[in-house]
Amino acid sequence: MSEPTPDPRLDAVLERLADEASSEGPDGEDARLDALRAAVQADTGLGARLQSLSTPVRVGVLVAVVLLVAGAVAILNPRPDLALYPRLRLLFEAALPGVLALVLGSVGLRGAHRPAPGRGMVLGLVLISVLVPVFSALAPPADMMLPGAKGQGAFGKEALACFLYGAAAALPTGLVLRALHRGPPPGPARFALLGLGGALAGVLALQLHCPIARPEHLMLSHALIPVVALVVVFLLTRGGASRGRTK
Amino acid sequence: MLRFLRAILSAVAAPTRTDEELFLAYRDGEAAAFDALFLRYEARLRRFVQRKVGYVNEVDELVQQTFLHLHRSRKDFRAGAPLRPWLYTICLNVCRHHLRRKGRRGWSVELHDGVTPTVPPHDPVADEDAARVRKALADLPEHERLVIELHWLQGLAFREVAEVLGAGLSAVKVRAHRGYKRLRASLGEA
Repeated sequence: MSEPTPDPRLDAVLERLADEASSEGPDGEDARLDALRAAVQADTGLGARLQSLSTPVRVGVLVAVVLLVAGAVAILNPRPDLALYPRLRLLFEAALPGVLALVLGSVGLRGAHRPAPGRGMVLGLVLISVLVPVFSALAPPADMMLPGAKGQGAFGKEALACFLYGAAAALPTGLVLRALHRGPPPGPARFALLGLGGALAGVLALQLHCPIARPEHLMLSHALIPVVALVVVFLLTRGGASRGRTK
Repeated sequence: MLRFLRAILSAVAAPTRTDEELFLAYRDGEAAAFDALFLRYEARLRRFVQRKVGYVNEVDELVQQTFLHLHRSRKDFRAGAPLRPWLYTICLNVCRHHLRRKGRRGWSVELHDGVTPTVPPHDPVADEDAARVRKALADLPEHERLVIELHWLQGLAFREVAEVLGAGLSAVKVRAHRGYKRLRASLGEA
């Protein structure tokens, strides 16, 4: 596509508007510069330090936190069938949410100097994040004879306990993602990516902790975590927008 | 005041330093280079923000936030990258967040305290043309308006505009072409 054919009359108007755009600002430039200097000097808290890290370092911190959560669960509180569970299946069920958490976190952690992720990209990532745990839950169980695969039979309590465990495991990653996010407070799209990043870290932890293979249990606890994270993000961003409007 | 004068002197003494050189110098610890960047871009960003959010009393805060986020992004800046797309992308993200928080769509012809950007008086025909183009600009779809604003009014190259908007170069040129045609049509209606 070539540049539009110039129109001298329109060009003259645009030139005038461009002159307006570059004309000097109102008096008080030194006061505004002083205010900026003061803001920069005051920008020294932990949050500011985290946000001022370069993007590769911030992503590195995210990777470390996800690995830490997964490692802590695998070492301190692993599923009883961890050694017996088919490796490939475990890779799909645990590593995939982990990798997805890192992808979502990395996209959400893009600096404010990068354009916001496109709507298609965000929708695609949200869909994948919600659907991966669902597929994982609805897939035929690897082996119902493995220890703990059938659960204890207390369906509601077990699901709730697992859900809370996953949510608790999701929280550190979610909080770290929020703390590392640089730029204006995240909008709904970026907030959804950060929230789902945390939620998927929770799913990863659950897959390493919970041996129950019943689809209804997996749907009501594991796969529910990203959905609840989305609802929380929706409520928080909606609440934030309403508060802004009433000010 | 002394620091302010020093910043001006630094900016004047090194008129050939590019934006990128200044920001790299700031990244490496030269605080005055950031002041020089502020002085170089504040007025332009003010106009950009004014047009985007429409309310004059919010402009100072948003321009300051833009520079504060630029400061926080300094460790991501690499030699060879252009700075202007960074600055305008941050500014646009700051404005969008502000408008979202306020529940407004933004972009206006007139500022909401009744002030319109002033330039030396022109002839009445030119004034009328300018008013028509401002109105047509405000009526353009957001994606075309931004291209016109960034390319023709802020002086960014199409490549830089594409970077700010996260769009392809050809898509930006198509938007520019369409926007320009609409603006031309607005003058044709005279």
